[in-house]
Amino acid sequence: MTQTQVASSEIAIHATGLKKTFKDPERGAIEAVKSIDMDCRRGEIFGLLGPNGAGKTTTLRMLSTILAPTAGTARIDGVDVTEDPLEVRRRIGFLSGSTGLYPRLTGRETLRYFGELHGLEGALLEAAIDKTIADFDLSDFVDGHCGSLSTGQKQRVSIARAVVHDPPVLILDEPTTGLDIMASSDMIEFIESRRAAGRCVLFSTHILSEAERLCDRIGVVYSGRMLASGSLDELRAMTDAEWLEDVFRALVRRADADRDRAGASA
Amino acid sequence: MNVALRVLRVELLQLVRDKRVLFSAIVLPALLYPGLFWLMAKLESRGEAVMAERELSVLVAFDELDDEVRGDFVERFETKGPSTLLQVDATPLAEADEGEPRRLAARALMGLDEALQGSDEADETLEPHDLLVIAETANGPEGQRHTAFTLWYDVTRDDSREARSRAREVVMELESDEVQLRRERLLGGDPARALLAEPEDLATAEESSGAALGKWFPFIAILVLISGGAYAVLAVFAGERESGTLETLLLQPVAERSIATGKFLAVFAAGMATLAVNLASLLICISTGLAGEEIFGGAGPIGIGRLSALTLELPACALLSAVLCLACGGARTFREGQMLVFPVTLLVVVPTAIVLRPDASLTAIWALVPFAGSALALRDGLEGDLVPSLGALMVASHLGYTWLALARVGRILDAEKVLGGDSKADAHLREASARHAVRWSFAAVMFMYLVAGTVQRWNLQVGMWFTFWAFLPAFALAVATLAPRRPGERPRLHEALGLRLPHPAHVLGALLLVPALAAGARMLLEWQMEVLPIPGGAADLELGGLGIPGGVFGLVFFLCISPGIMEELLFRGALLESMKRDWRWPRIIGWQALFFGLIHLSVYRLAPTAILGALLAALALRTRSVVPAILVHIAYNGLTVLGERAAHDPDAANEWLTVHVLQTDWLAHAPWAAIPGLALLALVRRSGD
Amino acid sequence: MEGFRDRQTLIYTFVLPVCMYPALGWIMIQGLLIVQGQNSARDVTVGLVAPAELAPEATQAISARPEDEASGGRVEVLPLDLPPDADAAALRSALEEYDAVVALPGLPGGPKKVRVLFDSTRSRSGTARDRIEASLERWAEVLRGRAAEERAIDPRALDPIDVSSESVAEESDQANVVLSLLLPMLLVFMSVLGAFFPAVDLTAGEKERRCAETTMLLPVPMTAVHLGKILAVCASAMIATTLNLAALALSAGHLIDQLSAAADRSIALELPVGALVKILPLAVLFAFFVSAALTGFASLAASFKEGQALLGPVQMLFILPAMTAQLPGLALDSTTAFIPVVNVALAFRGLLVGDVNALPLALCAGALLLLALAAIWLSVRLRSNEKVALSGETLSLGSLVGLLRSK
Repeated sequence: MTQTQVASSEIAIHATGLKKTFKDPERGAIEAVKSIDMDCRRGEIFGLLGPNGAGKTTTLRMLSTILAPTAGTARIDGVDVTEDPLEVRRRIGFLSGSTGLYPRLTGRETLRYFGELHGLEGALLEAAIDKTIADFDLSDFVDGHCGSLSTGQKQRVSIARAVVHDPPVLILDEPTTGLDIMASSDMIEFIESRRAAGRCVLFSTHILSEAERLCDRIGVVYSGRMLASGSLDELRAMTDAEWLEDVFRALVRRADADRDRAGASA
Repeated sequence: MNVALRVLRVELLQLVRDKRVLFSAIVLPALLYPGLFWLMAKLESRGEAVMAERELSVLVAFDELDDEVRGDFVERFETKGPSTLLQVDATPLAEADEGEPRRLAARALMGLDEALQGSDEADETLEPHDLLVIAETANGPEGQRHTAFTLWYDVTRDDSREARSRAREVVMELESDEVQLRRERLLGGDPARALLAEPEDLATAEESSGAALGKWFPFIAILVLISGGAYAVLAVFAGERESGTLETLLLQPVAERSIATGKFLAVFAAGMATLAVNLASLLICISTGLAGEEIFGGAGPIGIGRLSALTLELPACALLSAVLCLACGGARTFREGQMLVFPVTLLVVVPTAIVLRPDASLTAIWALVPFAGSALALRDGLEGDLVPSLGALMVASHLGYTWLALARVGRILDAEKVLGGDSKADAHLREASARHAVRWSFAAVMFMYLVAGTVQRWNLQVGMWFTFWAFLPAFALAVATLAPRRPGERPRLHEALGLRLPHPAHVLGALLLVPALAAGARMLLEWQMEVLPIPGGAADLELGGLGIPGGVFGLVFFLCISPGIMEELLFRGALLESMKRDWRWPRIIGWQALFFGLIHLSVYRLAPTAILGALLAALALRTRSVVPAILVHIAYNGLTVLGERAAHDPDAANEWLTVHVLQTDWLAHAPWAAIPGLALLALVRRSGD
Repeated sequence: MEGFRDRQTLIYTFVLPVCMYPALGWIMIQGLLIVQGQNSARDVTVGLVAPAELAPEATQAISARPEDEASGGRVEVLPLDLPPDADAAALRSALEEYDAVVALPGLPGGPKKVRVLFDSTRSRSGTARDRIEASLERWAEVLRGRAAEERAIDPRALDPIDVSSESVAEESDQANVVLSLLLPMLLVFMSVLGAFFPAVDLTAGEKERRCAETTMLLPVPMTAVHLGKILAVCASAMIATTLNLAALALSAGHLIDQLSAAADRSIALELPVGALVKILPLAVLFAFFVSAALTGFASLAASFKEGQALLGPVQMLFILPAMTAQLPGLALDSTTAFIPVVNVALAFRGLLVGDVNALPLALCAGALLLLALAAIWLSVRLRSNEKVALSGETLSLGSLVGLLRSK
């Protein structure tokens, strides 16, 4: 794995040996995430690619402090997720395909509420709200109740909600799942705009084309492990495959073979 | 706190914007409750009026009565309401034998049976008479005549009951006049004339208004608060989950505790708003005369100072909001939250019902009972005789409970639990075995209450056999065999019942504890008599078990050996083994104490049996066997039962057992044996420990 | 049968009737016992205003307590330093220190009456009054007995009249009457509560879960699907009612025992299990009616939230007629048999006291059945209509009427 050393101030997300075990009464302990190491830099889009159940969501939730890791450490923008989760939360924006909005609040009130919860106040808060509204072109419907907005408008308010405090790190959990073509292209545009602003974007997906188009670097996650990570070219070089789909298959096949061998020798 | 206030503001904003629900949950009750009260009052007075107007048909057999008395009776009876009196010949009744034949004769006279056989078309001639009054006179001492009135009536008919109550009133009036006369004539005046006094109530109008208001207000407050608060709590918690915003909210850089507090405050505010609207509507109803003041029994206005006692209900309102949050906060959908509201309502209304008893007053114990304490304090406050220290105790305890509940609400909102998949179901499965035990314990308590209790009341001996040799062992076996197991695990039945061979030293040590236990129980009961005195009738009920036939052997068998073996096999055997798989000892002991106390079905035995249950559970845990617990239970029951018997049954006091076992000096010192007993239990270890 | 697998339905069908009601009954009775116990064990102090020569006798008479009271509290009588004919104001101020004040202005046989002052809003004071009244009564009896003895008169001559009541009804009817006062309301209340949530779940719940659309797409006649679901709700309500009655029959024995202990007298009340069995068919029929009617109501609610909000008004709709039926003098006849809820409440009463004729009863049952069928027809009709089944809105009354006409 070729990885250029970068100054630590450049690293926005740094995780080593992340592990999460759920207890299950019938099957005993389940290792949803076995061991994940990753680094994401500022101004970079990092995609976590993997099938459903690979541990992507769990990883993202550990990074965003919703879940406490069973082992391993992760630092977001230099802050450890277990030591100061509140500070970490201030530095991230989190959005998933399933996040909803309060149907009886207006878009502006939603932005204000979440801005306040992030500790913004007074003129600073109003300025942030106005800027976000301008950035996402919400002004036409920002004063209507969220319940009455169209899906695309809701989506935009949702995104705006996640970045109203202008976080240096953005964590998106399958952001385009369930969106129509227009909404998901809005989303892709938004992700690119964040990169342009020098923020770090970490997102998970199981849609290969999305990853191929957006990501500066891709991490392939399979059954709780990071099989490989790097830019698309690096991954191609690693597996001698041209299309990302083939890259993915090759990595998975290799991992299965490794596991079988380990099982046989044990 | 800042965060909590922001959460509060946003939640309230959302609540207020949900207009349709706002209307049906807050405004509609405001219109409905006064209507209900009004209708209740109207119906009651209407019912009384209807009965007073009823034309009643009364048969009288007054042959033996003086004309004067007869005229008096008729005259007075007519003043009570419209009626027809018919003279009847009561000889068939007099000739009939006492008891059943006489009752049938009375029925026949009153025409009840004919009326029943007749068609349902109301036919005047077949309408039965409502009352049969028979007067018999006899010559009493001193040449004074003695009259006995017998009122035959039919309890199943409204008219008949009304007729009886009118006749009773008349006879009572006649009697008091006649008594007065005779005292004058025979004693030259009543020697205790001055003692016939009507007590004077010195309560001011304000005080009695306060008392009346204090009786109703806690109910209104709680019902209204639930109707408003329940919908708020559902919107604030379940609604948040349903709209998919909870995850986002929990990701904000604020503590769950502040979010929980904010949401709680929103629920509280919504509830208080509902309350205010309803109170206002009630006041308007009263002031416009739509609802009569009789609803509150108020005789006068209540001063502002008194009314400030209403704030005493605030801690209860806060607690109720917190309880609602706690109950419904974990619900993932409206549906799930919904079904919890009604049980919460019942649980809250029942303790509040204590205020309906005028003879209950705020004591230290009541002050600690959630909702009962606040209701009593409120009533006392409105009456103007609240003891400040008790009021403070109530406020402190209720706020304490609120705080505890809120702490738990904060934990419900713990992100890991919210998002860790179907977390509640997981937790259930994780403690499958202990939950199995708890469910069965509860089932056992209910079964004891509903079924075994019924059989015992029907026939004590059969009931005892049934309880100890059918119900308890069946439950023990069911718990042991049905306990959830991990795959591949096949424990043997006696293991699941806790039947292992104990260390002999442990058995000896356990038995040495018995006298101390018995002495302790006696002390506890004495103390309990101070705190929870038993009313007269109930004391007999508590001693009911001593009525078992079979003399001392029956007692020993039914009250010592049977419960000793069977209760232990179920509780310290099957249930304890099942709990042991998932829980550590403090929790096991707590649940054991609770259920063992409850299954005895009496508040007076709750504390002693719960403590016994806890001690026996500890013993079974320490010795890893149910056997010492069985022995201790038998011996302990033996000492207490025989002691009780000696105390209540003078014949039994002379028996050999009493003389040689219970009334000897050694027993007085026996509690000291507990010290070596405890030492044996603590120091001797089983091999393999 | 989806309903039965669900925890909620389970709770409302089984847990609530079998466990919750008896358990709450138990808690209430135990609370009553505690109050009773604390009350009878309470010591009260009474201030006595009496002429010096009378004071010892009066003190003794008032503080005497009947022997049969097990844990009876004492009555402490303390002399008050007031003239026997003290005015109300002075006595009133004395009441602040004592639970009650007795002022005895002169000899017991004298013309001036004794005064007992108490404060009805203080529970201790009420207890003191009760005890004083009983003591004075006993004292008076003693004095009269003594007077009669002095004059060598048989005290029985002073008692001119006895009155006794005899019931021509069966002994068990007594319990039936008590039951007939409580049970109809209770049954109506329990039936409504038990059937409400399953009903809302079936209609609003389905809208909410967006299953309505799926259901409509099934390749079977719509009405059959709806009918099946409504009947499932009805079945659960009927089971709940049966269990309710069973639990009531089983727990009532214990509760009555405890209650009579609390009242310190034995209520010779045998629970008429037979009577409960008698009303069971009607109760089950009523449960059927209630759940059918409630399904109709619930069809109107768009979501659970609204269903919840409907609960209060709908409950009133059932409880108010049931209350009206408690009016004395009202009986089940050919007219009242057609008024829903009222007829049931009256029929329960009638059945319990054995005072009902076959014809009105049959009419009542027929009316219930017809109304239930009408309600089912209504809700099937409503739910088969795509506008209602899929809308997220609550229907207004006008559009409801329009809808029904349109077909």
